[in-house]
Amino acid sequence: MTDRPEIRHGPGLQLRRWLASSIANRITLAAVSLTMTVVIILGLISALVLRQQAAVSVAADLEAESRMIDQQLQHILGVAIKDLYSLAENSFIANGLVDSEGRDAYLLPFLHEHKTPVGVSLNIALLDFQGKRLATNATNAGRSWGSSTVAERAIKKNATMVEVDRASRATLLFVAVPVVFPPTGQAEGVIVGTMDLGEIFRVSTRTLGKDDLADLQISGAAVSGGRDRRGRGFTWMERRIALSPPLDSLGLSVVVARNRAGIQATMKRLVLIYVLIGLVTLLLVLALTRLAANRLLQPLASLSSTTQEIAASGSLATKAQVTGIDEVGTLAQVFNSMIEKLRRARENLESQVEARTSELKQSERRLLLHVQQTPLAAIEWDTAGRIVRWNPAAERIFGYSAAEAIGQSLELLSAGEDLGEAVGVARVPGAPGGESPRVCRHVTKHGGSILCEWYTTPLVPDAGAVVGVAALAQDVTARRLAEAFTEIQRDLSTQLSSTRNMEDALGQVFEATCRLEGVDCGAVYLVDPLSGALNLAAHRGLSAAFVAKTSRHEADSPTAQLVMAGRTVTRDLAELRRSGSPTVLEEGLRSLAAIPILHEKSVIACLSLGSHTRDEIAADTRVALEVMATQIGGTLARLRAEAELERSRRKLEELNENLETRIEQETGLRLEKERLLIQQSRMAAMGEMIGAIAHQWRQPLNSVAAVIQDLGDAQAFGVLDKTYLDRGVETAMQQINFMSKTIDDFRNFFQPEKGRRLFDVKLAAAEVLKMLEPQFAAHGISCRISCLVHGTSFTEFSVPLQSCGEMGLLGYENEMKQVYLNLLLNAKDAILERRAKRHSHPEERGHIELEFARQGEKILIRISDNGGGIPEGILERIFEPYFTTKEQGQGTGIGLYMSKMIIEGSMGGRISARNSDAGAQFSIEV
Amino acid sequence: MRARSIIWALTVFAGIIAGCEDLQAAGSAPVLIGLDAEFGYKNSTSAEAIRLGMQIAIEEINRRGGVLGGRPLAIEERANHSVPARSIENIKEMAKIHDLVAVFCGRFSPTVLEALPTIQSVGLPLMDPWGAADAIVDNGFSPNYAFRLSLRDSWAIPAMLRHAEAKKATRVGLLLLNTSWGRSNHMAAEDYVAKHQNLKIVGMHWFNWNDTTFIEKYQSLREAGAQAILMVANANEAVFLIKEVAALPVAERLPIISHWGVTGGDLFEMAGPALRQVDFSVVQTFSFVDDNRARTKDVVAAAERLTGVKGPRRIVSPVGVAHAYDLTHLLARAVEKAGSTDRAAIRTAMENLGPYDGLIKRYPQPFTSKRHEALSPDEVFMAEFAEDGAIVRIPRARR
Repeated sequence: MTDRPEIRHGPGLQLRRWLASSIANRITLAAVSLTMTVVIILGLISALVLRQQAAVSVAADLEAESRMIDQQLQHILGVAIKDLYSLAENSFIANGLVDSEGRDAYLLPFLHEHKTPVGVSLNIALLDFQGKRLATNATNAGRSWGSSTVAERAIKKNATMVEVDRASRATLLFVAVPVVFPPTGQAEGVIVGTMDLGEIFRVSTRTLGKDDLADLQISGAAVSGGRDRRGRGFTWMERRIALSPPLDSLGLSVVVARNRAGIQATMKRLVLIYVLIGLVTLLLVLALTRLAANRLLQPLASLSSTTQEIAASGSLATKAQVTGIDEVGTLAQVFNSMIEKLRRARENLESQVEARTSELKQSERRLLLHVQQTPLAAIEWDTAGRIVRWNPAAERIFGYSAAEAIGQSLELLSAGEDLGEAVGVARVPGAPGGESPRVCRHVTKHGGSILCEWYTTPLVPDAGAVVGVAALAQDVTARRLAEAFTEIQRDLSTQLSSTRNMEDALGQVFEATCRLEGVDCGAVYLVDPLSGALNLAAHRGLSAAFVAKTSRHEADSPTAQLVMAGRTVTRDLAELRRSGSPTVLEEGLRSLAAIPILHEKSVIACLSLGSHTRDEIAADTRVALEVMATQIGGTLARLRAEAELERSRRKLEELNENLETRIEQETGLRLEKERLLIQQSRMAAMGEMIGAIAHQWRQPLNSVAAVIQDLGDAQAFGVLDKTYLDRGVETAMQQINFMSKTIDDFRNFFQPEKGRRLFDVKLAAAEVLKMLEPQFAAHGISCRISCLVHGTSFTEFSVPLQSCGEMGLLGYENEMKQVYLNLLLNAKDAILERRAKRHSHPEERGHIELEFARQGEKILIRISDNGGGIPEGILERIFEPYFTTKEQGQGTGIGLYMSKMIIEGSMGGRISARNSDAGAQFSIEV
Repeated sequence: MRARSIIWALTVFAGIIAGCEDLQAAGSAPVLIGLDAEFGYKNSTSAEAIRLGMQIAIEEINRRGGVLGGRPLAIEERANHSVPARSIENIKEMAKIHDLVAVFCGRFSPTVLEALPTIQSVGLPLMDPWGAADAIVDNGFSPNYAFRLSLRDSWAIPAMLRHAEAKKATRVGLLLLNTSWGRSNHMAAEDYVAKHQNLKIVGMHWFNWNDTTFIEKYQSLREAGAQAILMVANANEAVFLIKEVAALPVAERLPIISHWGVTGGDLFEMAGPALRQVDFSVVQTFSFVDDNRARTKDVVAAAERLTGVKGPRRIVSPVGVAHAYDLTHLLARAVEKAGSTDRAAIRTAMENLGPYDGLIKRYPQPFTSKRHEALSPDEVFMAEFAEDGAIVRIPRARR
């Protein structure tokens, strides 16, 4: 026996065995490998990104720093220019151009004491227009102040000039600002400021980062003063910018660079941090992967064995081991939970079966009880149509006991039709079912006819064949009757509401009542409100002979008395026969009902209905008729009221037509009276006028008469020659012309006016007085017109007055004159009456005063007399028509009434009267 | 400016051509007299007045045959804007002109004073018809090329203070332009007051070019007790003081006694009605008004012809015209006396001229080697602006 040689396994084989020994080992190796790969890739990417970000950041930093240096340079230069400008505008500087003594005594101390706000040393000098120095604050007076051309250019262009001088040890910046000599307004010199450009640059780069370097260059050559760049090899990145104006014109640029050492140190630190983080991550992944693999695989094995055990034993009491809350632990928990739920479901199912069995039994008992106690007839019959179940309700509805019904055919309940067909289910198996419910008419055990509503259900066991029919039946006779009546009532109500005619309404009543079961004829009697008799208004289904006999029931007849008592009277066939009413029986009526129709508790009509077929009017029908009678009562009352209203309306229309005619008649009478009144007034005025004419004519007539008489005498005495005759004719013609003129005046007065026109109220009064003057003079009455506007008075009216222009009025002149005439004649009458009654002194003359004044747009007229006035008791009535205090035949009583009508009606003014000390005073306002 | 110079030169030549046809026919080269003055100075009339005086005199001289055996005189003109640097440059330029025998200066003493070293160095006789600083003539140079026919500050201030005294104003305040001219007058005032105990300077204020308000300085002097204000200023600044004082209540308006710099500008026009509201007097040496001498009338007629003004009252800056007129005549005599255009000889001749009956006065001997002032304090008087703008002598009785 030879020893087997010891086989030594290489590391690769050992690794494969280690991997094959456990899934956990394989997972661990895969996780570590993946982690290392990820760490290396992320490290490389991060380094590249970081370097790129650093480059971008540094470029931005350099750009910002370049701009900041540029801004600082510009700021310093701007402050310097501003300072030099303020100096250039200073009078000391202007003086310095022309005053050599003042320069030494005042300007130099001023320049030396000047504090510049620039922040770097600024030497200042005043140069004349040729660039020659006049004064300076520099200790080195011989220093350069720029080229001579900078001063000349500044003066020539009258603008600030900047120049850089690299000739000296330091690079100097010159700023030349022109100095304007005030008296000429021209630049006559310059003020020059010099600054060390290196110093400015140092000040401007104070904020530069410690790793940054900066150079100021003129045309590419560095200006001393910036930070040393130490050669290109030390810089990592640089940025060059040209400076902003005006420094750009000097070729100045700024270069800012970042030191390479700074970024290199940063990158080294970064790489070291990445390596450390990678190692730590790797170790963590290794440990965690190992732990996770172990935790994952052990519970899986436990779960597997538990499953096998349950499968073998069938017991649900076995549980899997739960090792944690991870996915596998959760799986085990879910598994156990599922087993538990299965166990509980099994137990629950068993208890449910037991409970349902008990419930089923109870249900069966309740169903039986229900069938026994239900008001519906529960009937079951087999396929042969024999009744097999009959509950107490069926006994009540159909009258048969269960013993009588069970085993009988369905024909027992039939009213002549096949009940099986009628209720919708065939008695034979396989027949099609019908609609449910169905209503059928039946005959009860006691012979009554009823309507039943049937609900049928074919009894079909699991095998599928019909073994019988179960049915529920309900007596719906009363309900159907009520429904029919409701429909009739609704239709009648709709029809009656739209009816405007009594005849139509009664026709509709008959239509409705005849739809009630058993009613086929009838009549309506209306109560005569006066006699209380019943008069036939309409009928239906009755013979002419019957109608003729029953067309009126007197109030004392029994039928009328019963109806008027408000009670319903019914008579069945037996009662009719018993009462022996031949008229009714001859008509063939078998039953009757008389229902009073009431409205507001009064009987207004009677609805009498009958049947040729029914021996009695059913109680339900009678109730329905009473309800309908109530319904009809409202309608009949309404129609009667409408008819009454129509009659009233027609009567009113007739009355209206008569009334208009009477008004027209009355108006005509009144107008006629007014015409008469006006005519009377005119006639009265005319009478007065004729009196006036008589007075007017008396004198000229006498003259004419005298002339004629004189002609005769002249003839008699032989002195009548042609000259004498001509003089006599001329004298006579003058008088005749005067009389003719008088007639014209009066005619004008009575001439009707066509419309309003402008006239002078004062002149109108004068014209009236002109006509009345002779008459007044004869009675010893004087008149005077006074114009209060102009203070003038007139007592002579034969000569026409002149208008003063203030008394113009738009109106009817003749009507106004009539007013004057009435008032003046009244005044005259009053004076004469007073004189006649000797109330005045015989020597006292009558006087009438007419005063005219203006108050704004109004004309005021006051007519006063000394006639003693109007008695106080009648002062308020003087303007009433036909009111007069004069003796009979002396006055018409319409003069003042007409005057008031004219002033207030035609003129739109007011007239009033009062008493003065001497007499009456009338005031007119127009 | 150049255009105006050309127009004036053409005018002068037109006059020469009109009056001296024989000389023109001879074609002799003119003898030039330089004029370096404040042409271009805003509102200034002094340079133009000096030129007018020179023109009138040259017309007369040329009409009589010119100088040096028939050579006409002519003006070589430069503008210095009153800026010394330009004046120096002008002097240097004119010194190079061969036939230019002397240079007339303008009104501004500081300009003349600063140009003096150059004038002395180039040996160009300086004719001063206006600049009043004492140091222009008392310059310490020998030989002294500066000759003045004008006022001296040391004469002006005493005249102004005497005028104040005559107005019962023994306490005066000074308002001085902050230039060498102002300082020169300041010293003159201090010297005079030191010798006259009854006078007192109660306060003094300096002002600068183009100051536009003086009221605070004025009120400060008035509150210090000043009874009159002595002002050394040019027209541009004086106008503001006059307007501000005119706006005060009458009781607060003090007499203003002014040096004559104000007559070198158009003060009357610029001040307007305000001038009549203020007691304003100015020192003068000559007035055409009410001077009925034949010579005066001739000069006025020439001025009317050349400038278009009407009458002696309208001649602007009359002292400039009169001084330049007499000084041109004296220079022409010196040229004749020297017999050539040699400047040194002319300078010497100026010191040795004989009597001359001039416009301003009769000069027994205008200049001597010890005295380069042609006028004397006797010619100094106080004047005022009449309602028509004419500068008229204040009668002694009114002082």
